[in-house]
Amino acid sequence: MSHQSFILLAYFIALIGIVSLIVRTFLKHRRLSIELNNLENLGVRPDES
Amino acid sequence: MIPYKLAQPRKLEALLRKVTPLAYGLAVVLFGVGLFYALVSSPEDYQQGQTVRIMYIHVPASWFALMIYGFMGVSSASFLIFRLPLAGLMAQAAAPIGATYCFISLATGSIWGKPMWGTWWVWDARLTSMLILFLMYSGYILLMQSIEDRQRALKVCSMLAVLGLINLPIIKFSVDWWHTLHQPASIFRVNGPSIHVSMLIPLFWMASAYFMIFVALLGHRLQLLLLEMRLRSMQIKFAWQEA
Repeated sequence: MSHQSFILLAYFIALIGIVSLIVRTFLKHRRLSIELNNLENLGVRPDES
Repeated sequence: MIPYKLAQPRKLEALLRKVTPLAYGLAVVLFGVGLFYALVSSPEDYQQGQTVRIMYIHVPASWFALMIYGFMGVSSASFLIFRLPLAGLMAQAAAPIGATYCFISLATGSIWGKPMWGTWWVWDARLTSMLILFLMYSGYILLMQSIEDRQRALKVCSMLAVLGLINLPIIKFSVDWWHTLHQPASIFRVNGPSIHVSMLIPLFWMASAYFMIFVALLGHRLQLLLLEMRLRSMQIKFAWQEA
């Protein structure tokens, strides 16, 4: 492996790590928001406290 | 009183909704500038050649892996001693970010080690103590997921986080206390940094980017935890209505 390949591999792994964490966070946010909307549509109101 | 207001979940959520997108935007800008300096503008090292560029992605990840664990430990201690629920949630929100940074530190360090040391891994004090930090993060996350009762889970995980603080000085001073293949500290030293300013600039930009990514993700994950709590209380309410 050339030195350039090592550099690219390191940056690729770092980017994949950070981007996957961000994407997972956004997906979980979307899933929870959908669940919350479903419950609100069923007439359940959240506590205001 | 601002801190009192922020202790109220609704107020905190409203603030996080405003701040988090800004932090994400700033993180993208800082990361872009950091990548330019790290991959294009910075000079190559007289000994390591181009491979020195791995430092700009490896070193800040290691710094923040340690700092985030320190943050988790202090938040967890505040949760246990002062019964601050928000402190416990902050530690919980920070754990996956710290674990990711720690993984990046281990992986990029290993990739840097192969051309420089001739090996992907050695069981020296710095590398092993970093691996233990990653195991502490993983243990915290797995334990949190495995206990059904949220209050109990937060209490047990907080104890684990506080206990894990012992590892931080071991990681920091491992290169001084033991003979290691890993190089000694070259930035945070009593005599000042030992690397050239042309390499300190990209390091500063990348560290700022890592910090801003942490701020954005912490805010976002804190929002998720508050949303989860609201959802759970609504599910209980719905179950009562149905019964």
